[in-house]
Amino acid sequence: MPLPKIVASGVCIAVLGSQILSSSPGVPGDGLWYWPFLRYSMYANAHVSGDSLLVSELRVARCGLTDFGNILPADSLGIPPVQLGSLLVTIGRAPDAPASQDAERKLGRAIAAQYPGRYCSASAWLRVVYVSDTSTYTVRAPMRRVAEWTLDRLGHE
Amino acid sequence: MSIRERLDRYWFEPARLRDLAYLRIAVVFALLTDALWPGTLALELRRARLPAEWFTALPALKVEMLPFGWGARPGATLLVIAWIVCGVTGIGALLGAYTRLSLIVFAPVVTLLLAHVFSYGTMRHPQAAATIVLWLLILTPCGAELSIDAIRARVARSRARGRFVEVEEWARSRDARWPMRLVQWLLVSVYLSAALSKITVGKGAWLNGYTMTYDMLLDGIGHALPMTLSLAHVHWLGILIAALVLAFEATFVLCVLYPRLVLVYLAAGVAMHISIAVLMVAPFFQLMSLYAAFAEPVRTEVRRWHRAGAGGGSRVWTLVYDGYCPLCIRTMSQLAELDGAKRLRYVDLERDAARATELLPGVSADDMREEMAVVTPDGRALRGFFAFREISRRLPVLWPLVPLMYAPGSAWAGTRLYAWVAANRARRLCEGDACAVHGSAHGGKGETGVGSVIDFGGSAS
Repeated sequence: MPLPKIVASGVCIAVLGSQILSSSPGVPGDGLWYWPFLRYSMYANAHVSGDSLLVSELRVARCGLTDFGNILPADSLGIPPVQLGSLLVTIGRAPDAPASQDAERKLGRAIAAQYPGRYCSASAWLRVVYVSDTSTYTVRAPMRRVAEWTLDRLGHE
Repeated sequence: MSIRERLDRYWFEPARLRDLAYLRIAVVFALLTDALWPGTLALELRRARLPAEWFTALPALKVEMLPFGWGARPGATLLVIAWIVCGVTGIGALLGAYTRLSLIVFAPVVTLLLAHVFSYGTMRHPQAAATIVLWLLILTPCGAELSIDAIRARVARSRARGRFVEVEEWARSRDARWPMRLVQWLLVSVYLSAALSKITVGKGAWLNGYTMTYDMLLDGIGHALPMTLSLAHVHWLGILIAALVLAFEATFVLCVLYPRLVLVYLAAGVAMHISIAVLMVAPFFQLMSLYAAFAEPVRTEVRRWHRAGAGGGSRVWTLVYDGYCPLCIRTMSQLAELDGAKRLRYVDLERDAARATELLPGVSADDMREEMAVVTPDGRALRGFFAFREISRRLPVLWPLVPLMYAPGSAWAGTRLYAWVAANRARRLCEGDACAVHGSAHGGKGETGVGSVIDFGGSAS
């Protein structure tokens, strides 16, 4: 038996209405809160030739070692890559600021949750890529250590 | 015609159920593959291990987790169970086994898994619209074609009639039309949202080429993609790509308003999304699965082009089968369900002996009963295993079997297997309302012996 037209019409109006509403500029929040009804604003920000982007890495040292040879990618921590990058840039810009220390602690707790007791210190590494300087367009390039902190070993089991 | 009548026709004119089935298969396949992709469950579990400060439940997750409390966070056990249920019901929905029930379970489980993984501050867009459509499909008869349910129903109908009856017309329903229209307009709103965001947030600067360079650098370095970085050097390419992307997104509505543009737009969309997937590792295949909602205009356009080019002669393969053989009736019913392009025709040699003889001159009726035959458009007749091999080449659903059918030794083994099945199948003879089962032409034995009663669920025709 077919669905009554009034019900089908209601479904169409509800779905399209919700999608249009959630992607409207006036909607509070960033339009991502109503998932799966979304604002499709990815890659919407414009950039100019003077812009630069910061490439970041989180490196950790095993307990008892000082070598920061282990790079922890976002996936291995279960953290969205954008968030990891944002926290590392916060730490790198002003390592002594309270926001940076909060970010260090937050990352430290994530590391302890995924790798309990394995790592005792972490560091943030950055490099700058300039849109106007093609010589910086490389997959691998030397990175600069901008901050280093001790993990408080929360979650140690 | 009044506006109301036009709207009614636009949204509710009966459409092919098979087109709706394409949409079901495309959407379920995309979301199921995404859920079962290696590493997906591991990521779910890693996120579940993160401290609570990382977790901010999306409203969709809060609603689904309501039995455990508002804002409850799913634990590892629940996620593993959900993932397993997702796999089982997703395969059910894909193949169309208990389709509606499978969808009723699959949709909330997929939503739970996605909403959980996106409840850590950042989300991805590709699955969103497909998830909406998955819920929508529950309300539709999307399992009425191209499904195990449909095959079972068709076989049951053949049984009830006591014979296989070819259905010339495609099954249609108004409940196939409005979901496809809705998905088309949902895609329009998605692309329009993307275009308007670029225009309102990025303003004209979005087209300056540096924006595209920046985004390619971001993903090229983040994912270590040398090709993307080399393209980032070419400034004019950035301008061209940005202009094409914006033009596509802003004008996608045209292919809904003017279906003759559909092939151009869908080809452009596929090219755009594949390029983004390759160059920026941002696959939007789940969104692309919604292109299946354009099956009807695509088919119309392809036919128009085909007619304009080659004259549009239709090529059909004609099967001659034993109409008193339940196994043959079942096989014909299944083939008819799988034959999306309606390339097969069927001749029941017991009821249309003259046509069968015309198609297979020089072959006796007994020989025809022994082996199914297929006559190709160029008049070539193939029998038994070779007939089945020919059919498997013509039906896309059977293409996975083709390499096996042409493997060395397959003809030797296939002909023997076919002969064994044919020799052991049952036959029935009907007179009036009474049907009886006979063994094979060579004399069956045991349960298929003469006089056994066969249950066809009704009197013979």
